[in-house]
Amino acid sequence: MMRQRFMFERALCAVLWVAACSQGAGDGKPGDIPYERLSDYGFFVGDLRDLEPAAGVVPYRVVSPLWADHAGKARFVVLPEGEKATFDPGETWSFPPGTIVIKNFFFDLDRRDPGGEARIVETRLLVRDETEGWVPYTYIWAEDESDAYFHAAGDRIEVHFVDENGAEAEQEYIVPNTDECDSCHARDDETHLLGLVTPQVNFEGELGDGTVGNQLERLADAGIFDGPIPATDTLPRFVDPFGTAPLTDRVRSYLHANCSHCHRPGGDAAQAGLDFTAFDPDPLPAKLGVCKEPVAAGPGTGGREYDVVPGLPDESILVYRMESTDPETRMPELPIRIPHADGIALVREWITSMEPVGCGTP
Amino acid sequence: MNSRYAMPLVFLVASVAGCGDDATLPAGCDRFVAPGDDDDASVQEMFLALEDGQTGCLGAGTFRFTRELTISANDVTIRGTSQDDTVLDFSAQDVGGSGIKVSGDGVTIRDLAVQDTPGDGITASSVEGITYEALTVRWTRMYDMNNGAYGVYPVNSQGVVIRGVTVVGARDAGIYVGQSRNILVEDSVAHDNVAGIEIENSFDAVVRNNEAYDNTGGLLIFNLPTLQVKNGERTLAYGNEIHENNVDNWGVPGTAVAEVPRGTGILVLAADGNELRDNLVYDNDSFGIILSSYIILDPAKNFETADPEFDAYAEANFVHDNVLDGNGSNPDDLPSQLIPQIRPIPPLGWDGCENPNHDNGMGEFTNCFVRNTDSEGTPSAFLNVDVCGQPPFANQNQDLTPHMCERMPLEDPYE
Repeated sequence: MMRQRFMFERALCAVLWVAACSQGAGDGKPGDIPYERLSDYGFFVGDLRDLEPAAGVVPYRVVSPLWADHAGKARFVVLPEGEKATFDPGETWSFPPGTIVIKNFFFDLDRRDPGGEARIVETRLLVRDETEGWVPYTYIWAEDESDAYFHAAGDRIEVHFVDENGAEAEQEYIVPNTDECDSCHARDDETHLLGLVTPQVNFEGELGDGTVGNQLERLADAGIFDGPIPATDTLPRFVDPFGTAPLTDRVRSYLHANCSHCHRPGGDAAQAGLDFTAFDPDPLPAKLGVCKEPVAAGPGTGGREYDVVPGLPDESILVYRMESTDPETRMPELPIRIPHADGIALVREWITSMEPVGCGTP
Repeated sequence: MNSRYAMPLVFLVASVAGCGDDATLPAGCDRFVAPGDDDDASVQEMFLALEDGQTGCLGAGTFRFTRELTISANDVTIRGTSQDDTVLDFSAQDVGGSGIKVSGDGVTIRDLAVQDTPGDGITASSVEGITYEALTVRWTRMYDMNNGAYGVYPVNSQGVVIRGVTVVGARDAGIYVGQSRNILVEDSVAHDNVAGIEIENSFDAVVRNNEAYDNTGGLLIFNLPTLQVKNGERTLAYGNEIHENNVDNWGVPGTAVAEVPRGTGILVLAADGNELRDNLVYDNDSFGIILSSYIILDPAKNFETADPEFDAYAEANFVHDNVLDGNGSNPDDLPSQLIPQIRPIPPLGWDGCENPNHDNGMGEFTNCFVRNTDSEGTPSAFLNVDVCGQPPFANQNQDLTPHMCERMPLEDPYE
């Protein structure tokens, strides 16, 4: 334990020149990770709510984000000074101890003006520990958005906004408890990154820093890797699910980002027998639920016989569970309250596009 | 699975939860929470603060939750005062698929009741060691489609113990063990569920001295296709009392248990190498003990393409020394159609489907039925339903001779 604390202190002091760790370890201020306040880490300069990254804190975007009840997300990664990550063409970049991945959740105050004024509600950290691997911590922002405070047990936050029709509206946003972070991030008994993986950042478009280019190249340019990376056009890539790529690519990217953290071998829902990862271009149809019976699902079939019935979205359990708001039925399982209309439309389009060959007599 | 948060959280949580003062702790408890104004927070904070090996205690009274509770520390015990006195009420839950979800290894949950979860009761997924002991999971509305699916729900795990557990009202299976290994279910009771006790795609389960009644089906030993853990084997079931499982099937269409006929005592579906002995099976209106292939659920054999590795046949099972009374006298629709003429339906049944070309690793395929009688010692009747005959059902017969065989008894490692 001492070794772990020391490691954190060293890593953070090296990087975060605004942090209070200049006062040294052991004086109780700001104490050990998890710090009480988000501002204690010194990730951002100026007004905390503006999320203006300090030197060494690198912003990034992913091409196919996980739906989170309309929340926008601002992502950053910070490595200990002088330390580098080792690149992998798949999902296992190797980060040095002390690395922190930061994800901030915010809501547009006016849905007619996406990207305009927003209220920030939560910040989640994954901190790379030498022995424990990635360790999650959640911070909840004060109502005045002056700072965020460590909170392990989860919470509910009322979010007020103006909806697409200009009407006052509100929704409840669920903050997970720190165990629940692992219900998405853990597989094979280890906590993994889901966004900082090659196919999620190997895209051309608007990047986390507001510029346009290839996100993976931009991360490499920021110096996070310990060597050159292969040409990005030789590396796997997901696509924007709501962009212009072919339908199959878009739906596979969407299902990967929203379902495969559990529904894959080694994932939390491996027992269901599905595999929604987007790596295999020609998977066994049943791996994507096509004509697959929901044998271990128990609940939530809605009386439908198969996960995906080609040509028939209204007979497909996949659609039923995405559209549900019942906590037992709805997918993804974790604190999401509002069905993702665009994602449902995409999956419906995909199922409708399949030849309606039938799934045989049950 | 991990305990990584426990250490740092101790500092933050102890003062909040008011549970760090040893002087006020009940005996044997490292932490303690009583019902209060915000049970969601106080109980979850206690669970997060537990260090490996500690015991967290819940006081008497009713705790009310609106979201799933999670336990990730290893080798911890969560216990209430008793299953009568400590009630965890989830009727207002609107977040999470289970009441309690366990991801830590070696967790024991005991002496409490979990009630009215919208989803599953107590789930343990991918763990090494989980013990459910002296607890109740119940739904207070009978046969309600809003009830949760599984009461106790260990899945994809090893070292499962379910002891002295009562489950009432599950819309799927009350006591359900899925895709797991090394399992003990004993001294437990399941009633008013669709399936009372279900062992699915699992290996080396011992199911002993339990009671299942007033379910649609009492004890199910299932293998289903397209799952990750395939072709489970070697469930040993003995000393169980399986009776009056005659409740109309109220399972959700599309789930496997929804196909179980009302009045099923013990059903072995597509599972090999199981031993059923010394059970009391009585007054189940369709079947006493029935062994069946998956073909009855999928006559077109779509499973052959969906899951080429799936062994759909129930083979090399050993059914002996059971006492069967009063079964088969008022069968459900499907058994009535399959077996139109013989009443009561013989209490011992086999669907007649076999596939010796599918190696089950045992080299044996015949199901053995010996020394099964009614309570007066009269040998029990048998029926080969001939589902796989050409044409099907043409040669239904009651000839037990081909099945008068013995198999090596399974060992009970928990004895």
